[in-house]
Amino acid sequence: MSEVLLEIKNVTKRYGKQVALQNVSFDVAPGRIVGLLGPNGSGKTTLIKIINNLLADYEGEVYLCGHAPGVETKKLVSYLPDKMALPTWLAVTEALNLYANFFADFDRARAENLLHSLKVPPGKKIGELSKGMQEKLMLTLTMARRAKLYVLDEPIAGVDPAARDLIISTIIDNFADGSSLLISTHIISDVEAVFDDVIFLKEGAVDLQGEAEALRSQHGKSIDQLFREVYRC
Amino acid sequence: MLAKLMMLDLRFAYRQFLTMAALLLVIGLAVPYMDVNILRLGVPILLAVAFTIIPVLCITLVIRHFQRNLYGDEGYLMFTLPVGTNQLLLSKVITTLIWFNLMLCSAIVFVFLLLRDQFGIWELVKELLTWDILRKLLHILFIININVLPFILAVFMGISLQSMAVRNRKLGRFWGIAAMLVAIALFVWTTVRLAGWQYLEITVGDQAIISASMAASEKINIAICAAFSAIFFGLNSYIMQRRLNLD
Amino acid sequence: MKPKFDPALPIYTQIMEWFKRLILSGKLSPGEKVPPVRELALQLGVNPNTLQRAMSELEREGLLYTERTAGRFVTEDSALIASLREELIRQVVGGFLEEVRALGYEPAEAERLIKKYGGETE
Repeated sequence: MSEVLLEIKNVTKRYGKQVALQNVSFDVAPGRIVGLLGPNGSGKTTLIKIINNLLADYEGEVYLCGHAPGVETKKLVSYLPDKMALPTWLAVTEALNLYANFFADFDRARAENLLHSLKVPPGKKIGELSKGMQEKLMLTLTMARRAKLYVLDEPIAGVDPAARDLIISTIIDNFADGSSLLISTHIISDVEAVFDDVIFLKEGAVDLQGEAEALRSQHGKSIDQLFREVYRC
Repeated sequence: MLAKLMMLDLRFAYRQFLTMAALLLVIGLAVPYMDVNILRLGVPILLAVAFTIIPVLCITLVIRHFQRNLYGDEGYLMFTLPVGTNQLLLSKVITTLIWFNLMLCSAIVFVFLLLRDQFGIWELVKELLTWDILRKLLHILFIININVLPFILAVFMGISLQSMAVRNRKLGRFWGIAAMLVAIALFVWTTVRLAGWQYLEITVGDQAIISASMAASEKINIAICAAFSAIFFGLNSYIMQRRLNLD
Repeated sequence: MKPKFDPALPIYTQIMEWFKRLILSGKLSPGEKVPPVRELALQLGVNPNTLQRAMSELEREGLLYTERTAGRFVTEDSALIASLREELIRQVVGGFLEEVRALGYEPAEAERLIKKYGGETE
């Protein structure tokens, strides 16, 4: 357990006077599924952007397998943003080519299987797909990489409960052995059985963190109930 | 990796650029077959189209692609590719130069096509197709390219600067555009001061067929272009690497 | 065979309980191969590590065993299964009788009550 895959040390991010993250610290060990929990605006996406080197201007330290965010870490992290990041003028198969071209760990056969099972039409332009299909395509591309760390930003927000189960099982079924997952969400009840560890972010600071099972027996409450308590105004 | 990035950047708007180039050629070919009266009216309009609308369209395409692909939602993909910021930027610069040269060549051919019946243009072309003249043309093309480079980089730098203002986008846009204009003005001023201007002509017999204003001292001109390009490129890369703040 | 877990309690103990009953009731027979962790976790919608933990605990209790290459199996020790089954039914009956007593019936009446109402729940 002393092994660390992702190390976040005293990270603070300011937008002018407004503080988005305040002295956030935590570690992610290999082989863990970590829930990054908090309502909208609690700093989840900001933290995820720092891990992925999309925000370069922050205080504190972030290490992934010993590297600060940069070209090296981008080879190791598979990232699902909360935005439609794929150029919409690409066709679905072209998007697969793009990932295969740039990511050495991309497993094309797995991606094709996933597309098939999620019923994403491979011939279409991304811009012609429905929003739900676009999200499934992004999930496919993200999970078809054999990465060290998967960072999924709100993968189940804005998705109906049936699709939610499908997404969760796709995630569980596809992450590489020994790799870890960091999943941010503000919807907890359907997914809490999936987490090894949880981190509650409140107003940019870590409010509560620990092993999910330990928190359950310690408080006699579900993670969902704890979440509601932490964020009650 | 750079080649792969360039393929991606080229694919973004290759249809639009190729269509514009083809349009110029088709119009150029079709014009002499039109009625003489239409021709009188049409040629100035066609020239206006070719030399105002098309460049504006091209510049818009390039700027929009740079903005969306790096600082819009697509930036979430581009900046997570395992590629250094220098390569991301270099790919954009090179592909922009490719489009610039394509359109430049199409425009030259277009003008030649419009003029072909006017004064024995074919004889002229035949005469032009000597190795010596081609070498001169390539040389001019090189000089044009290296002079355009700082402009492209200044525009890109302005866009990158805009992205730094996370708090106030409007203010960011103002500073971005202001910085771009200052950068361009500085470049032009330095060139005029240090390299001076001259009028350059390619002549066939007594007839000047291509003429352009150019910097008097070519070496100084090239050095200034290279220096400004390097500075703009470096600043831009620094913003992308150390000051990135994606929305 | 997807059980519903109470998220307010540790999930691995609930998985253990559910799995134990599968074995004791004979739904999983002695020596039968257990599906791989990833597959079971997927089926239950739980974290693979949580499931792994439940399986390890069951191994410690002797209900499962692992063969290095072949995978994980239900124990062939029928005596152990029988005694645990006996223990479980003892607890169930004990709980039932406690309820009976709490409602003011004599334990002796339980047999009569079972005969009277037992048919209602298959």
